[in-house]
Amino acid sequence: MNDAPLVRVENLRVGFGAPGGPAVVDGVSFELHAGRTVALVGESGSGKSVTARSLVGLVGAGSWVAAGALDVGGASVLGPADRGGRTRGPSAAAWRRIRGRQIGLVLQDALVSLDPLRPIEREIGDALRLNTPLSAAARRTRVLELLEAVGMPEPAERMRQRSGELSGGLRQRALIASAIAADPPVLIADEPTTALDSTVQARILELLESITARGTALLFISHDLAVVSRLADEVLVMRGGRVVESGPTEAVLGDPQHEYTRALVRAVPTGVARGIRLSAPRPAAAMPPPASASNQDSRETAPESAHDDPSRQRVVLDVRGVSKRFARRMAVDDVSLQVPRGGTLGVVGQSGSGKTTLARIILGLTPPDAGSVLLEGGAWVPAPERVRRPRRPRLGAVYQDALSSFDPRLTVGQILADAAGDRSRVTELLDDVGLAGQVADARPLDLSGGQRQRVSIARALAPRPGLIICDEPVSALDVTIQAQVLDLFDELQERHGLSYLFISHDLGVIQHMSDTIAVMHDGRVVEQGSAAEVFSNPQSPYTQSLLAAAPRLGRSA
Amino acid sequence: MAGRVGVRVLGGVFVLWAAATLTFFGLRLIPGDPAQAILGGPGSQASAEALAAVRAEYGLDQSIWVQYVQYLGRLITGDLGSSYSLRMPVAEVIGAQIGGTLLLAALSLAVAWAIALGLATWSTRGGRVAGAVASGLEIVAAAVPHFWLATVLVLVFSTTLRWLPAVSTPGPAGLVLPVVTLALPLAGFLGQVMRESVLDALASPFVVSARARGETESGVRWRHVLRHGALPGIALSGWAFGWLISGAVVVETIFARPGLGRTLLNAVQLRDVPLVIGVVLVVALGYVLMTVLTDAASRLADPRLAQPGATGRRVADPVLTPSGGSR
Repeated sequence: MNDAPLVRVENLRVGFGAPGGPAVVDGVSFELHAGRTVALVGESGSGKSVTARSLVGLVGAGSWVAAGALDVGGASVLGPADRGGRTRGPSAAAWRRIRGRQIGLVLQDALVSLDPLRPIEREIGDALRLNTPLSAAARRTRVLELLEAVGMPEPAERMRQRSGELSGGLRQRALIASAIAADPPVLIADEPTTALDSTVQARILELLESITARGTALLFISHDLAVVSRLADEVLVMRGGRVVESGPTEAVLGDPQHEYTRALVRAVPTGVARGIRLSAPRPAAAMPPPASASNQDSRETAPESAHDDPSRQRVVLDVRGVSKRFARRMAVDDVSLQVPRGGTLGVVGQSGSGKTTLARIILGLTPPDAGSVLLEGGAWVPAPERVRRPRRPRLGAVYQDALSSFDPRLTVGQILADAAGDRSRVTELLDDVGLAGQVADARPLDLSGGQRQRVSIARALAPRPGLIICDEPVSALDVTIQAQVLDLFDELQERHGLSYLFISHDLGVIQHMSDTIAVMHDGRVVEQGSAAEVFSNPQSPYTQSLLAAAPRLGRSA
Repeated sequence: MAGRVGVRVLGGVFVLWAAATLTFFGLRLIPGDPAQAILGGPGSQASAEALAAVRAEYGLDQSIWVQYVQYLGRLITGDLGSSYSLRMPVAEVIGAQIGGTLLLAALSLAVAWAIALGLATWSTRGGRVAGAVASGLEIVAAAVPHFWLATVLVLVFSTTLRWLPAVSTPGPAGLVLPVVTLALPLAGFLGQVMRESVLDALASPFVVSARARGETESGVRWRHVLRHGALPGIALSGWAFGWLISGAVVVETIFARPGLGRTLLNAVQLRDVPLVIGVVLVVALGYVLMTVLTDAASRLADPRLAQPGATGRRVADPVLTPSGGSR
């Protein structure tokens, strides 16, 4: 193996605005070698993407880059330095000789990372036109070869299609083909599988592995530790622009030394038993001063409201043979489920499996073609809305995109007062979900993603429901925030005796949160059982393939 | 597909019927006697017998509804009638005038496009100052009325500099000022929407992808951004055509240029009902055709619109959104 690094980064600093101002990347060093994979791990805003883009001079307008060394292919791309030690980089022409030829870049969502107006043949062919002397006819042949190499089915037909006409996995393959077209020795993949379902993700990761096996160096950026542990030889954990820990993957993720890396590893829900906390016991920032008077009020009212409930059934929600057809396909096909009182039913499946339609049927928003739903023993669906309305407070809902479910003009206090029908309970509700009282005056836009999701949970709690339908409630959150919100769900369940129907595409989240699990595929429930049974001994072939595709974080002890 | 074409044709017929009807009744609201107008206006001092004879000849002695139904009946057979004032078939009058107006509108549209695209491309290349300058120019251009712009252009380029004729003469030189008068305000409108979509495209991840492939700055603009920038301009061109024709009424009058616009103005002043309705119908037909054309052009330029569902969602792997198909 050649020992000279393909890329050498030493003490990289990048910032926006006036040189000398605060740096968003501060003191990052690593080397890329042929056939090896280095991963940058961290949450959104940690400086991973900026670090990667500084290698191809695409950090963006108004940015500055400084470094002890920034070498690509043995030559510095820093350019002459000014007095402050900052540089303007090489000429535009010099950068173009590096981009595509020495370093290929794959971005996150190929729907927007490939020009939606151009066929993928032209997008991939552009990389050849710019970086090779091939004729138009030779480029066409090469594009076909490339599409075959990245595993595109029917490449001759697909190459005439545009990114919008391809499925998520196929368009990601097309994007990878365009990045490796000119055969660059280095490939940067920036969250290449984040938008994909787990089985599709597994295939894209296999493709990246086969590319590094041919001797390409890979700089892999991800927030997903499980994916990183599968792919990377070396890991750099970034936080706030700095590297807090780095080294061989097994060492860093298996035996993390830094507190932040430990929090990250701990936050991964996969394989963590039900009820065990994922986040640190009481993060000062997220949790309010403990147990105020109002908090105790809510604790007292919880059993009382359960006592008021006339039915006292063991089963809170009973879905019986529900079906729904859209146009030519069955979105939900003869689904039967039960949610036990005080327990959690996890519904797992990939996009298009019918999870969300099922949730809408249960919420009484989409009428089913067949079947019925009983809520706390009483008829719920089908039933006239007039009959349902008085019992609506018993059923809450939390969605993935909290922001778009709020009226942006209202303050958090107004949103919660509206949901509770009572202004005096706002502080109590905020306290319940671990938010400080002054959040009441903020608007949803001013809050972080985790805070917003807490507000939407508080809103769901406001009418004192017995059951909450959670549709992908943590999918848009960073892993440590996700851990805090999952822990909050657990706390609330214990405190108020809540039942959850918890929908997610993430097997790890479902395993950690659920007592029983239903696996959905093409509108049908293909497997149902206790969480332990389904995960340790899956019966349906689909569940088996789903489990096999899920990347796991190798845990020590 | 056939259903969509059918809806289109029905919609077009409805627009034409509505235009004819509104014009027919609208013209009755102008005070004065149509028979008087036929005989050469109030100044002609026509005798009572002559007026009665004209009323009988043109059916003006019948009720307005009978006149309306008879008029629609003739329109359906393709007969636009005869001009009161010019004593010629309306179709012939329009045939003689339409060429000049179409040339004026087409040239103005082309010039407006060129200015708008040029401005959008230049201003997004420069810094914040260029953007602010372009934005200011666009707003001023869009806000300027035709008659004022025409007057200023004539004062500067004809009266003072003596470069161009103040009255539209046959030949290219006579076209310059009318075209510029029509094109500048339109360029302001088009420029605003195009610059916005150029900026959107430049901020898109696919532009980062293209740059990461080694694409040059001009390559990024020609191959990727230009097309995205042109999309809203194409969609607006149908509307722009109608706007140009109404502008032609003013511009043709000011520059004494023969054309549909001037014919229309004269016909309205003389209460020449058949000619007014004829011109309105032809303009409405042109508007309908332009809308169909720009729709087809939008579909060609943006294949996402041609897909079933037309939301840009792919067909192979439909994802159920919360609102999908539930209504």
